[in-house]
Amino acid sequence: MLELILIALAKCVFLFLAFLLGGAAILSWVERKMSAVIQDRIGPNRANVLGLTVFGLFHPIADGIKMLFKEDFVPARADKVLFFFAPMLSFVPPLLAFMAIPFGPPIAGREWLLVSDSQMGLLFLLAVASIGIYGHTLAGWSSDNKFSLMGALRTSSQLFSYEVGLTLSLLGVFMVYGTILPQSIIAAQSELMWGWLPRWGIVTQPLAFILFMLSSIAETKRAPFDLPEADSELVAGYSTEYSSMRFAMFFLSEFVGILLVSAFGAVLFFGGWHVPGLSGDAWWIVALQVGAFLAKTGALVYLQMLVRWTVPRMRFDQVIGFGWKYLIPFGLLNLLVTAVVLAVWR
Amino acid sequence: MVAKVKNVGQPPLNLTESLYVTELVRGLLTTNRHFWRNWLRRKDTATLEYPDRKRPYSPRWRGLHRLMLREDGSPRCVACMMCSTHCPANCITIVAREHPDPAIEKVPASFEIDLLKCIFCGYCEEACPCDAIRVDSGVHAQPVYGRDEAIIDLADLLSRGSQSTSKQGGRSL
Amino acid sequence: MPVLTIDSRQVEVEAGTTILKAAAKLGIDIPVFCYHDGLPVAANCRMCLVEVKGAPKPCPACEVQVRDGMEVLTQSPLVLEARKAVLEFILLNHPVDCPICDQAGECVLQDHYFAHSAGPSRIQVRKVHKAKAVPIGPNVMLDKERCINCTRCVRFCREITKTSQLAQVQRGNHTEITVFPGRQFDDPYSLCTVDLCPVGALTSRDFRFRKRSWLLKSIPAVCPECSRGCNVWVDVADGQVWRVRPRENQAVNRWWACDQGRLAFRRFEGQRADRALVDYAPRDATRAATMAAAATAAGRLQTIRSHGGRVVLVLSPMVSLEEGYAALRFASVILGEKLVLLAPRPDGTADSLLRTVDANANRTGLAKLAGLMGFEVADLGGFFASPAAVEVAGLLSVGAEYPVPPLPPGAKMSQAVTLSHCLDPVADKSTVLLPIPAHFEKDGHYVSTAGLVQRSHQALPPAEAVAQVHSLLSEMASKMGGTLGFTDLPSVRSAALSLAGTGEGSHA
Ligand code: SF4
Ligand code: SF4
Ligand code: SF4
Ligand code: SF4
Ligand code: FES
Repeated sequence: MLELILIALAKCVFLFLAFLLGGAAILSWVERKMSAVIQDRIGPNRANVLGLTVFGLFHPIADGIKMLFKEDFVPARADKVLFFFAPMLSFVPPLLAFMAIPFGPPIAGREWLLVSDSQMGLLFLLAVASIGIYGHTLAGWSSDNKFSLMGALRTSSQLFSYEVGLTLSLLGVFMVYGTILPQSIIAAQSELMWGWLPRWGIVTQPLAFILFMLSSIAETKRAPFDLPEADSELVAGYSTEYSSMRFAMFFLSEFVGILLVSAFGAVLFFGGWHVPGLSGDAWWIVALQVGAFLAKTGALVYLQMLVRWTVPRMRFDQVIGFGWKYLIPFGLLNLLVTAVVLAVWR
Repeated sequence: MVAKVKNVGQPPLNLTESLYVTELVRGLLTTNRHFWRNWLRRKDTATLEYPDRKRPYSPRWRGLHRLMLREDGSPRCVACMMCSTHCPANCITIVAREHPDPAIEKVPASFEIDLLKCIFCGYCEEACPCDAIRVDSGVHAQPVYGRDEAIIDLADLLSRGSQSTSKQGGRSL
Repeated sequence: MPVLTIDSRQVEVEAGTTILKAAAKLGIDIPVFCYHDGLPVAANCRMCLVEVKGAPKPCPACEVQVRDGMEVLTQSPLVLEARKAVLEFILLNHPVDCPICDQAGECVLQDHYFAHSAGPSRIQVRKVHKAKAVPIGPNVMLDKERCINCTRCVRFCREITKTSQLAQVQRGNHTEITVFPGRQFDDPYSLCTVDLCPVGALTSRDFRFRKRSWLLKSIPAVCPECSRGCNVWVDVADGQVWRVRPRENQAVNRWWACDQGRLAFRRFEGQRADRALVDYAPRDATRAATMAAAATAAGRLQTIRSHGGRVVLVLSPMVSLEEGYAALRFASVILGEKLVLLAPRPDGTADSLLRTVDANANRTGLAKLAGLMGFEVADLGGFFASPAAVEVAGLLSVGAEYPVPPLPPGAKMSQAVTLSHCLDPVADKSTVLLPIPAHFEKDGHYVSTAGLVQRSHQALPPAEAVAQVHSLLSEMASKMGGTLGFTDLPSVRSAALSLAGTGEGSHA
């Protein structure tokens, strides 16, 4: 028992500290640097330690220190309790959701690289991740600020709309592989079709992948769907009144969200840690597979960032209209076609 | 008066453009291309890292004022008030005094420019008959903590001064 | 009377008129330097050359008298050429140091150059240089190189003031204006030569380098220095008087004004009452505080009156008709007095040109006004020496500039309310001091020694706490349970002028 707890703790420390927090911090740098490079600028390159700037990689650290020392401002008429809990409520769920993501294959029959090998599988991820909506909504509600409230309203309606599309896009995948357990989905994807093509989700469910990417961008509230925090209209949306570490939690939760949907996408559509032609228990094979998983996640992160710095923000009615009028019908269509094909196939 | 209206037409979208998807992909490819090109070779980067490296200013750039000097280091300015009269911001305040040398006769006892009012139009330089005031120092007006500090005085103006090549004084031809 | 043609227009003028004046009658402008209406003709600058048909060469319009049938051209090529040539000649040795020249902006040479020449200098040799910035007198600075030898200044001293203190010496290029060795140019009208000098050769030492002429705004006023009532322009900028110049009025001062009068505005700088004093303690520098002090003064005078005490009015003969009328009205209606004591400035010295002995601007007008309002006019000094002064319990002084003379022994005086613009001689003699505008800060009428009613306009705004005499006295009257019958300056003015004269320029 104690051993189980210790192992779980170790996995959490690795997952949360090393991967998620470090990853989110680095992503904040990636986002700034990448936008700069795309726009023919230089980007962050000033923060230095002993004169070393390392491409501005110290900026996230400097930002963190700055955030820690900023005044933690609470508006006089804010709902103190909700104002206090809202950032946590938006920060914790995406972290929890990672419990269902496998970072690598089982080693010697044990899930060393998956925190929770629960029977709920990826449903757990979907369920937990949706709780984050409450955090954003309550933050806007408790701030006693009309911009925050508008941001909160937009967040709840937008996230609610796209939640449907997201789930619909996943159903097809679950149907094709006949399971909701992540490791089983990955195992199913590692089969080869016609002897050479891995049965990855992107091959079997291409439309589902597009729908998934669109709705996951909307779920992470990023351009072109960043209406909840549209700076030009709402200052900073639901987080307008937040400062210091509370603001940092919102900030980090956005990047953890990006990591989450990218990892999720990698598991569902790109075979997770699977590398065609590689199997076995040797340590270097496992390392390669973990690396492959990270690379696939990274590629999806890159795609999301590219979209953000390419496409301008939509109007809010367009966002909601797109969700209901195109995303969901296409999701249903995909489901129908998948069901028909599967029925005929078997 | 009837305002002139020019209608600027919007070219109609063709089929692929109106599909949005193709244009979206094209956009993604463009940003992607910029990313990799700049990432690998920083070729198009336009940023100049300001305090370390500065863009050379045009010699006609108008910065902080300065008062030019005579050969003996005294101000060329004769307090004629052409500059203060001409100044559209009315920010130059000059008090004149007698110069012991009757050939020079008039010099400024005080010469103050309120940089908060100054619009750096350079009209003072244009107006000066003595090549005394110039705005070619190439120095920026610095931010200050109080309004009083934004008023520069004679000593400050002279500290940026140098000698002019033009002739001055009533003892020539 | 001769009829002549100027630029193909006919005009009929008196015999003996000069071409210049005949042209002026037609509105034709002929440029001049040396000619001045107030001076004898010298015709030495030749700027006024015009072409007369039949004459062998151009004639100076300022000197040549008209003949019947004369044909004059003022814009012919010959005339234009002559003007150019004259200007080039005058400018040969001129330093053209306009940037440091006080005359710039009102310089006739600058104006004529722009209008009639604007050509470049062709001189190839060194200019003749002369002494600059020579203080030839207490008020006048001479720049010998700027002089264009028009001799206006010389003629003024010779013909108008008859002191002949200036002279032209040397010849040709080296001609210059000078004072006699060991002498000063201390003519009491010396600053008139500064106005007369068409260029910046003679400049005022008081005004020197203080303000550029184009920044000044000129307001018509009347000089307060003596009872002549010379008309002046008050040149103001930035809420300050910088210079006072004579304003032409053929009935009073013609073109002239004395140096003392021109510099009198300095008397109103410094030592000004800019806020009310009650029992020698200053009040806030606000209008409301002044009005409150006026109410205090009214209360005290009322107390004296209710105990049967006597309050007499002391009037400075320097105040305007409007102020005097308000004060006299207050004395008769509120104080029940028929005696007004005049507190004049001491006599000055008269001269043959303008100065009068009486140094008070409005004694004539106020004495007449008081008489018409049924007042007995007495002199303050004489009254204080009389036994009647012992009974006086309060004084109301309006416009006081001089200290009250000592009271007789046993005097019952307890309150002295003073309305004055100055602090120094009166503050420590007043239980309440109320600030009023100084001469150039108010709009009012004055009667000259010749009985001419003249208006002096407001040149400067007074300080915030300063209140007009009529509004102070109205306030005091209403606090003492009475009314003076006027509310604003126009109503005081029409009441005063309907008594003392019919308006500006009329004879009182
Ligand atoms: S630059 Fe223009 S605004 Fe500034 S002092 Fe000169 S004239 Fe005035
Ligand atoms: S700077 Fe030039 S224009 Fe201004 S007062 Fe001096 S001399 Fe005249
Ligand atoms: S006299 Fe007239 S022209 Fe001569 S320097 Fe003075 S302003 Fe200039
Ligand atoms: S000093 Fe002036 S007024 Fe006198 S002669 Fe010379 S220019 Fe004429
Ligand atoms: S004005 Fe006639 S000669 Fe001078």
